[in-house]
Amino acid sequence: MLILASLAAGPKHGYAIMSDIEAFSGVAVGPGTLYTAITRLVEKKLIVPKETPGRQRPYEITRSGASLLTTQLQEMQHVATAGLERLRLI
Amino acid sequence: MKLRESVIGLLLRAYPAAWRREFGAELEEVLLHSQLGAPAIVNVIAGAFGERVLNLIRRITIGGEMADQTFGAHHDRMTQIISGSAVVLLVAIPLMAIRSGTVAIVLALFSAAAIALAYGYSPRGFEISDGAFRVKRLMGDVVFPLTSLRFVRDANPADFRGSVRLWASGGLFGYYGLFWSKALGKSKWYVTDRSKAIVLTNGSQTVLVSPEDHDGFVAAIERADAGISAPSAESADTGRRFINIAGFAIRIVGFAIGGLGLAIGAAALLYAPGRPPVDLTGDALVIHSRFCGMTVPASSVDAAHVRVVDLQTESGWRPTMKTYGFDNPHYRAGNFRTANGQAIKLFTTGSERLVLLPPSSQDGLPVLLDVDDPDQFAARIRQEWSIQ
Repeated sequence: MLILASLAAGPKHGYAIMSDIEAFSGVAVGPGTLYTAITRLVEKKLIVPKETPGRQRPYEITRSGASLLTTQLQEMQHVATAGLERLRLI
Repeated sequence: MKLRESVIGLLLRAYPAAWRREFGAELEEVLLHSQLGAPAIVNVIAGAFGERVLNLIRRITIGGEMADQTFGAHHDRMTQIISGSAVVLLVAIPLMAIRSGTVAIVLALFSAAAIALAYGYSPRGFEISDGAFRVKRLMGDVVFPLTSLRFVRDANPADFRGSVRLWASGGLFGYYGLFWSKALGKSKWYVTDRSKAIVLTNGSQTVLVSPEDHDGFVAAIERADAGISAPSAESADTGRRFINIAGFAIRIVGFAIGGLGLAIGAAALLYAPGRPPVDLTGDALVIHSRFCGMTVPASSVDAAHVRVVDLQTESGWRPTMKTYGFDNPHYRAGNFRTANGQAIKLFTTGSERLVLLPPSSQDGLPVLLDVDDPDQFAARIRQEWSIQ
């Protein structure tokens, strides 16, 4: 989901995704973990590589990837709201 | 810098070749620009291990891994019926012989080996990658260079009519191996669905395959034939070498397991230690046996009724089924059932005359023991233990 969230802002290659995730979430994703996740996301057609001449292909979130990200973020938001309400923080 | 590149190269080689072709260059770039400490190295190795495990699972389940083009191997109805029936039969035969102990073990080993080998060598899928066409199998892939492979035509019923198996499976998990038929002559088949079979030629050889996606496969072969997907000689060699090594290793492990199984089966069948040595004291009888050796306390035996049983005249005492222990034509030791349904402890080399030690209570089990001189031994027990 972190990768999908990173790509929601626009296409990025592997290293840029790693840096972006660390910047917006504080989570340091290892290169092995990153490419395992990228492989699965490509297989599920949630992201697609864009063909470029360089060695680093940028990835782009697909429509189904964006849809899945939206659903998951809404669910998280629902849970977060419920938790904060119970803590009387909102 | 060179050391760093070498380490990265090694790390990348931990991934499956097909994965490297797709993502290798990118990961290399990421690693070149990242801090390459121990956590990153461990992380990459873990990722590579995960990909290899996933590839192995895919090979086992669908016969495919990430490749330029992978085609499944669907089994037609006849193959499913033959495979299902053969597996049921191979499982049922040892079960039917379960009463005969070692024979059942040998039959079970044979059945397991037959199923494993037939499954291991059956086509699990087809792959076009690295300038080669591979028939994916658990026990080593069959590799044909694409440069020499040509699509001839779709197979037709005449190709299969009157076919003779020269060294092949005729339906158990597919039709694969060396066949002869009037229409094709001597040919190699890797077919699981005859309705989708395709005739290829490998220069001197005729090859039949049956990829699930018939049209996609033919298009891929024809593209390769036209030189559209030019192979990288180096990567083709590397991939082939890896597949050959993996296939060889799998074969070695398979043969080792099979050999070990046969050795254990043969040893179990031939084991003949002779009559078990015994130590008789005033308190107990110690029966020394590698399998189920035991100490029989004098108090647990109805000593006055210790006697010799002749199995020819008292066939009800004949052991018919092992419930626990060891049983082969030369030696039986452990818990058995007799012809009249009695549970007993038995130690015999197959003699007809055995010493019977009846239990002193209803909870105990009778012991049937093979000794050199049964009459003398029974008399000795009666004498030594009855006094007490």
